[in-house]
Formats: sequence, C-alpha cells, structure tokens
Amino acid sequence: MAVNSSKDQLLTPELLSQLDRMELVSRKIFRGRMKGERRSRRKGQSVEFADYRNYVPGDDLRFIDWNLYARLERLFLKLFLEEEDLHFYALVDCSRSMDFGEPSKLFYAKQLAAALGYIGLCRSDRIRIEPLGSPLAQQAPVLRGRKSVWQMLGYLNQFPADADAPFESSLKSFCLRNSGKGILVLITDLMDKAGYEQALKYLIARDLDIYLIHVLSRAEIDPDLKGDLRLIDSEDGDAREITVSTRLLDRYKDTLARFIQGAREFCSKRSITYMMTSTDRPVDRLISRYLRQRGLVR
Amino acid sequence: MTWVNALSTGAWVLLLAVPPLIVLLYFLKLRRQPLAVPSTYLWARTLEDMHVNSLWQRLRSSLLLILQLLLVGALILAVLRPGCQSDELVGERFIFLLDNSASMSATDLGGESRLQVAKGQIRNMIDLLARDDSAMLLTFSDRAEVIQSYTKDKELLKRRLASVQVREHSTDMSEALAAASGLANPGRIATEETDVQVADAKPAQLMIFSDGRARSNPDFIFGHLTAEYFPIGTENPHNVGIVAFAINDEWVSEGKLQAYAKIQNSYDAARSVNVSLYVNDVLYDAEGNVALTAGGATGVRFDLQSLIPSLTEPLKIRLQIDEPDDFLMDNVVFAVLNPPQPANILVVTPGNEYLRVALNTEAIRQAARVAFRNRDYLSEQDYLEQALFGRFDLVIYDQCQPTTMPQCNTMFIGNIPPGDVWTMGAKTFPTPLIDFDQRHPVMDALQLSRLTIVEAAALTGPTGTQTLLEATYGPIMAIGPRGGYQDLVLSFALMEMDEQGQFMVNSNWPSQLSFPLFIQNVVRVLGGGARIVSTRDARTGQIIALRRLPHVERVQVTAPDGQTYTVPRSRDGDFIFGQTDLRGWYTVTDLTPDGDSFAFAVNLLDPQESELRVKESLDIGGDRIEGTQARQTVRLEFWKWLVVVALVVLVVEWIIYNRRILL
Repeated sequence: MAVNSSKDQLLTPELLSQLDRMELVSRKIFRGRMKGERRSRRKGQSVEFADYRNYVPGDDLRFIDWNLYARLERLFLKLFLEEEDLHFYALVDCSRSMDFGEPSKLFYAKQLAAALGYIGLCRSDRIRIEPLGSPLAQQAPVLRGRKSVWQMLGYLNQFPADADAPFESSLKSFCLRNSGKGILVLITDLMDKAGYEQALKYLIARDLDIYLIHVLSRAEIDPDLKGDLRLIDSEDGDAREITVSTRLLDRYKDTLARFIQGAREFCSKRSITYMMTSTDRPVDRLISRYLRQRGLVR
Repeated sequence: MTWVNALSTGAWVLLLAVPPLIVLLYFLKLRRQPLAVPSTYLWARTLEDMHVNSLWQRLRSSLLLILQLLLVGALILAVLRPGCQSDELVGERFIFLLDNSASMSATDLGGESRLQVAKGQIRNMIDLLARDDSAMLLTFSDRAEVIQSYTKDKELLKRRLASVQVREHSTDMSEALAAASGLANPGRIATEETDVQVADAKPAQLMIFSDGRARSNPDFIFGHLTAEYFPIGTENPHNVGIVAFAINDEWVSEGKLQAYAKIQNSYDAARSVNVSLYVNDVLYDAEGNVALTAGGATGVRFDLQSLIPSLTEPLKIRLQIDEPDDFLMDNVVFAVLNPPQPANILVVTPGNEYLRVALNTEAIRQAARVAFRNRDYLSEQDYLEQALFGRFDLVIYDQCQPTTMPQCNTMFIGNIPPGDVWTMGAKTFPTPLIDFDQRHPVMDALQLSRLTIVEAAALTGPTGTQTLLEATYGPIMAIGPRGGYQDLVLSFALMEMDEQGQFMVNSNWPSQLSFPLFIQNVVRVLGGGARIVSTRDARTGQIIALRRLPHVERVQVTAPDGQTYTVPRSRDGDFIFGQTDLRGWYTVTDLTPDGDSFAFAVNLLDPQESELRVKESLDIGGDRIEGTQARQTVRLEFWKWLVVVALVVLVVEWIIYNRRILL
C-alpha cells in the first residue's frame, strides 16, 4: 500500500509490507475499552477456552457446562479468554532541537511513530499520536482500524518543528488529558535544559508500558567542527563560545556518553524501556531488530 | 646576570609597543563563526567540566596569543644581550703547552713541584671544557712532545696529563710552538700566479704553563693562535746552583789539571755554601763558606793534579753543593777523567824541518805519537790499510795529496783534499792578509800580526767550512767538515821545493813563535790530544757522537739509572747516542773480546734553568704575553639561545595555527 512516492514519505511500501506482519506487544495486562483482536489474560467472553470454576449464585447461566453437569451432577462454569483492544500512544518531541540532522530527528521520529501506529491500526488497536509541546496535541485524534492510516499520516504531516512548550509541562498535559492505560512510546532527543527526569515521573505515575526512543543525529554523536565557533542554541538562543580542539571534542563525547548512560539508568530503574538510536539507523531496521528485541513488537 | 643595552630609546619605544599591538590585534582578529546547533545543553555541560581549570582553558584558547607574546619577549630579551661572567673556557680548540723542563721540578710553591701545580691548573681547565671542545696536550723542555693530540675525551686528557714527568733538560719552546702552530696555521703553496692555502686554518687557544725560563722565539708568528701564559713559580725562589763546570786539561793550564765551577745565587739575600768534590764517590776536596752576594755568582777552583798518576782508569768526579734548596738538580755536577791516550799522527812531508821541529816539543811528545813519512808512503799497502781502518787520529799532508781521504782528521799544507769538494784558485802574489779567526780552537792564542805569506791561493770548501785566515783575494786557510771528521786546509806551503830540489821559503810563519803554538793547537784539536777530559760539554738531551777503534762494531752504553743501550756504528763511523736524558755518568763499553770502556758525564749546567725567578711575561714572536694569575672571566652571552627559542616558538605557533584541531 503505497502512501506516496515522494522521497520524504513517512512510510514506504517496503516498510509497510514488513509492518503488516507485526503487532504491538505489551508486558502488562490492560483493560481495553472495546473488544479487539488482542487476546487478553483476563478471562472473559471469547471462543477460546481457558479454565473451569465452581458455579456461584449470580453467575451467568449461559456459561454453565451442562455436559459436565450431566456426568458429575455438579455445576461448573466455563471460562474463556477475553479478546480486547490495546491503547497505543506515541509522543513525538516537536521542539526546535528535533529539527536538525539529515534526515532531521523530527522526520525520523514521525516515521517511527507512523510505523508503530500503522502496526497498531492493522491490529485494531487504539492509536493516539501526539506532537509534544504543540497546541496541536489537544486535537490529536484517536485512530482505530486500517482505514485510519491516511488520517494518521495526514495528521503527522501537520506536526510543527517549532514547538516551544517545556518538555515537562507537555508530558504533564498529556497525562491529564489521557487516563487510559496501554503502551506509550516517547520519541525525543531529551535535549531539554530543565532535565527530563521530572517530566518522565509524570508518566511513571501512570500505569503505562513506557518506551523511550532517544533519537540523536550524527552531528550530535560525532560533531564535525573546526576552529573558533560561537554555538547558538536553536531553542533558547543561548550562545557558547568554543575553540574546537581534540581535547574538547573528546570531552564532549565523554559528556554525551555520560548523558546517555544517565538516561538509561534512570529509565531502567523505573521500568522504562530505553533505547538510543541515531537518525542514521533506518526505521525498518530499528523496528524489525531493535524494538523486536526489546519486546515492543513481534 | 648583566645586560647590555643595544638599542636607542626610540627603538625601545617601538619594540615595546609590539606586545600590546599583538594583544590588540588578537582581540580585533578573533571573530568566532556563529553556528546553530540543536542544543547547547551538552556543550554547556562539557564546558562546565573543562572550566574546573578555567584559567588553563583561557590560556589554551589564546595559545597563539601567548606564543606570539613569547616570541616577541624572547626577541626583546635577545636585544638586551643578557650575559654573565663565567670562568668557562671560550673557544673550540685548546692547546695546553706544559713546560716539563728541569726548572719545573723546583719546589718553591709550598713544597709541591711547579709541574704538579701546573698539572693541577690544567686539570681544572679540562673540567671547564665544554662538551664539544677539543684539546691537545704538548710538553716541552729542549724538545717538544705531543702527549695527547686533539681529543674531546676529558678523562683521556687527564690520564695523559698525569703521566707527564719532569725531564732534566733545558728549555726551548720553539719546537713546541711550531707543533702547536701546525694545525692553526697551515702552510701555503706558492705557485707562479698565486699562493694557495693547503688546509683550512683551525684557530686554537694556546695556553702556556711555564716558569718562563725559555729562550725567546722572535721568529714565531701566532697567526690563528691566541696565546695565554700562566706563570708557574714564585718571585723569590731559594736556589744556589752550579751553572758551569770544567776541568782544564794539563796543556792549556801549563801542566796543571784543575776543575773550575761557577756557582750562582738566585736568593734575594747573600748566601754562603759548602762545596764538596768527590772522586769515585770519595770526598776529595771541599771548599767551605763560599760567599755569594744576592743574585750574584762566584767561581771555585779545585786542583786535581795529584790525580794524574792514578789515571789508569776513568775517574768519576762529582761536585756538589751541600745545602739543599728549592731546586736540587743544579746542586750536583758530574765529570769524568779518562786516562790519557796518545794521539796517532802521521806527517807526510817532502822534508819540512820546521814542521818536524814544531812537532817535536815536549808537550806533543807526551800527548801524541808522531810518524814522519815521505809522499811515496801514500801508495804503500800499510798506509792504505791504516788509513782505511782509521788507525790515525790525524794525517798532515805537506804539499801532497792522497788518492782517497783517510778515516781521520787531516791537515793539508799547500794542497787541497782530492775530489771536487775543495777547490783552490791560481797561486797569487803577493798575499796581503786582512783577517784571521781567533775564536776557533785551532787559532787559539795565536798572534799573527807579523805573518807574511809570499804566494797563496783562494780556497772554497764544503758547506760549513770556516775561514781561518783570509787574504785580500779570498780565504787561504779554512777548516771544513767531512762526515765526522774535519779537514784543515792551508793553500800556501811553508817551504817549497823548486825544480832543482832547493827549498824556497814561502812564509815567515815557521820562524815565528805562533807556529809551534798553532801546531800544538792542531794536534790538540784535530789529533784528539784533549781526550784526557772526556766530553765535558755534554748536556742533557744532547746527541753525542762516540768515536771508537775501527774494529768495534757495537758499543754498550750504561746510563746512570743502570739501563743499558746497545749502539751500532753509524754510516759516518761514529756511534750516535741520544738517550742522554739523565744527569750523571754514562759508561761506554766496546762489545769486543777485550771490552775496553770509558765514561762520559752529562750535566744540566744551564744558567737559564738555575735562575728560578718566574717570568711575569713571555716574549714570543715580537709579542709580549703577560702572565695570567687566575683564569680570566669571560662574558657568556645568551642572546643566540634566545633567538633560537624565538625561532622554535615561531615554528610551534605555525604548526598550531595549521593544525589546531590536534590540540
């Protein structure tokens, strides 16, 4: 199913063909609002038998196993596995810092969100993708079913690259607006000078299965700089003067490594699945290999 | 550290304005290129880490500025010409010229010998040599010796220096100066068009360590050598020494054998000393309280006449001053009295009665055996053998000529030796005399003012010929060398025989008193009649020609220290002996079955060496080199090093500018 043929298309036909076979997996048991195609560990109404239990007054008589009563003269209730839908949230950081790199981190993030959303739509999951920090987030549609793919992609393409709301307040706003449980994939570069820790705590408070995809561009991982420079922050205009030297670059890489390690440790202590990726890594590979290893898809 | 201002005030103002200008330009120049980045979050944290040592970071960021300031600073310092006084030796090549003559054994410097003091000073200077400096060590007495040629190995130099010993020789610096000058002033080859220098000159610092008691060298040219003189010794040394010693033979002193000595006082006060004479190490005579004025000299005389009867074997004579002083080498002199050996003299004459009479005096009869023959004898076998084997000490050819010259001294009267070495012009008449040489021993004490010669001829002889008697037209009597022998030639006959066989008188000399005296001198000088006192003139370091009988092929010489030397006969027929380094008696033994032996003595006897007062300056090659008491300090300048530092800084700055990413 080709979406469009332009170079900057979010989902390519090859990617779609891979995604068709996948499904989103949650490590937690969630109560869906509607019956979906997902088998739940919760016992309920479906065709798939799960177990027996003794009848107690008040139980639905329709689930009594009458054949067993004929043989044993005791009433047993047949229990079936419940099939339900899954809530999938994808939060895309739309701050200005995301609009860097080739391809830009924002494009990469939208591509990833679209791919994961597509998987969810194919499995009739409940999909909600929000641009973090943008007023557009208020209008984020809840999508369900394969037919909503066009709507999802159209919505993604509207994501601005100049959201200026702080990371923390954006996540807080999300948590207030959405009470449902499910899988949350946060795609961000974590470049917020106020820090990401407090913001993530809002999410932890919710019983969500959280995945944090940390996107960095090649220019951030291995900067190719020379000479006397005045670095200007794209978000707040902060300027830093540097004279590039091997020692400085080594120190920067050291700082980045500590930053990534800090984020990883923070997440692992709080049951957040952390994953750092570079925009150089193709989205299909990220999903089919790395996210599959981490159990987000199968 | 001292400074030399090399710039004017205006120049200083300009120069000092450079550093502020650089700082100004640095800040004007530095325009950082703006670059938008996603976030300065990580950069800020990185810079915070680095700001722990922010001063260093600031310095690093302005490294080029600092290097430029350093460069200008180094140049400013270089212009100030910093320097300091140092004892360090300045130069590349040094020549240590060390006097090891006899006088350097004097102990007037607090008990230590002068040589030891000089060696200590040289050792200190070797320590001051820079690593790349090279030095050589020369010693000199009456000859020079290269102890160590140019080397940079200081330890080797010190080892070689330690091996230098005093030699009992007199002092002559010329050979050492020539050796030192060899490298510094290479020779030149002259061609028709120009002259070419054969090698590059290697300037050197010549450092002379001596007491200055050396003969002057007016002809020496220093050229590329820079000389420094370090006087070794004191102004008032204590020394009384024997500076001359002679034993007169019995002829000259009318039958008396006497020993004469001259004693010199180098004290600045009057002294009196006791002098003892030993014969074969037994005290023979002594003279007590020989009075000497301050800086004066006096003579002492000993009568040895009573020794003549016992002269059957060599007697070893030793004269010594009994009081020790700072210089012991001149306190003892040696001599040998050898038994008299009559000279063997052949006179070939047609019948010269005057000659016969003159050779028949009592004195000559005692000293020589004289045989008279006519000219036919010259062709006899007996003569030929005896002449060939040198049995004669002197042959007098009166108006005749042998076919070959004999192996002995000769005297020709009215003829010249065969061959073309001597030439004689045509007989000339009359013969007015203009001069005669009274200094030669043959002419000693002759009074020739009334001498008349009728006919004579002008003579020319070999190189080294001395004219003894000269007429208006040229020399008519001369003495010339022939190997180890001497030929005395008179171009005029005393009596001539005419065609009728009648004798014609050619000169009035035979009838004068001076003639027998002349013949006596001839016998004594050429006939070896003075051999009763042997080689009285031998000095340490002198090469001695020993004359022995023809059948002796080798002789053995025993030095005073007991060392023996075997000397073969040289081509000239003499035995040349040069190892006369020590004072004392040397015994010569013929290496033949009969093993005859005789002795000779070697002495220092040099008034220059005995005069111990150190010279404050040296006169060499027309220059006066003042003595340096202590090492002169030199100013070591550092500006070259500062310029090198500035250049290095410039190179580093350039590298950093081009490869800043590396820092």
